[in-house]
Amino acid sequence: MIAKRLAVTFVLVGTILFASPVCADTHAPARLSIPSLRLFDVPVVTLPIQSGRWAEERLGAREVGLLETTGRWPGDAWAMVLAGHVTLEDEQRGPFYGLGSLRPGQILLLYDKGGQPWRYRVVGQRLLAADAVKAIYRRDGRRLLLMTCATWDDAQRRYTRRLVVEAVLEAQTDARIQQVR
Amino acid sequence: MTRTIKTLLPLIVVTLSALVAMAVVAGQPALMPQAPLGFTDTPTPGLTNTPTPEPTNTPTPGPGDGSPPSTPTPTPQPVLRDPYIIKQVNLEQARVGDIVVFTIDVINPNPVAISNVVVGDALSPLVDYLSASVPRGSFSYDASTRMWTLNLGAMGPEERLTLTITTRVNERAQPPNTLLNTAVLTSSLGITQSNTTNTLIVPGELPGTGRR
Repeated sequence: MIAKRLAVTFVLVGTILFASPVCADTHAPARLSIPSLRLFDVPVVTLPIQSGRWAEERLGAREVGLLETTGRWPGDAWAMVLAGHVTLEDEQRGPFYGLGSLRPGQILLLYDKGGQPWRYRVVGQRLLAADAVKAIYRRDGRRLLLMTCATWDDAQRRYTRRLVVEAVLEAQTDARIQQVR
Repeated sequence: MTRTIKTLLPLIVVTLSALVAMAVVAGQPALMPQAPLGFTDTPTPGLTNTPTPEPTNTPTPGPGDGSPPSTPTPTPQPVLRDPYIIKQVNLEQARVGDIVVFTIDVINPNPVAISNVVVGDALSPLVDYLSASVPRGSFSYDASTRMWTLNLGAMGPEERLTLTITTRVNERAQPPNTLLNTAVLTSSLGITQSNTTNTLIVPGELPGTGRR
């Protein structure tokens, strides 16, 4: 009886002491898979804000970037936003080249640094103006936004809009958020 | 001896009666008991020559009035609570150049008025002050200290006031800075601090993730 009480006490104390660091260290996203795009285990890196802008030059043909100041892990206060290239120089395709073909109901798998998969289901997509920065801040940690460039303008020689695909946590992984929190 | 007393007794009675009569005529409390040493001599209403306040129905109890001190009836005092000051901001994220409006609610929750009500707001260096809207009172802004001040004077029982301060995010607000702001209310009840509003400064443009 005493041993049981001691065990419960240790578990409770441990949960209180180590809950937050566990969120930051082990539940931060590490890899992304989108089976319908035949995209597997794309590394997720942090995209910091430097000199007043997100440092997109850190992104190459392989990885996607988690935007600083958006959500940091599944179930955080804000939705996470991952940005990736649609195209690169020499007509090279980026990891999010096929993002516009995603349809509602398709599945995304986000693996955290602890190796745990978080399963998201696509719910929709939309186009944003390049300066619609506030639109990507969603106060809903169950959401995941994937973003890339869209609408090439030959005259300006640049993409003028952004494509955003929105996904929401599936029920079975959503339940784990309670443990993360 | 007894005979002598019997002889003098009428004389004593007459003398005393005369003294009392003289005292009454002259208005002097010749035979009033004197206040004990060390006590303040409280004038007794109606028995002094000096002009004193008119006697009231409830004379002030004093050591010299000869009556036992009456127990004052306790008047119930309301328990006063600190006034509320609540601050809100219109933007959770802002970019350089955006207009940020702070709304401040000031509430006196008490059934009695409070006085000397002053609202102070030290604006962040990340914003420039533009204007303010107040229901009453006089306000000022000191650009050197960045302190905005509203002098409301008194607030009535359970009165609620709403005021706004309009600012613009300036070039010092580089992302990912956070614009924090807290207002302070001083009144006759003391000092009350508002909640702190929190606005994240974000980049002006989404990342460009496409090259050709």
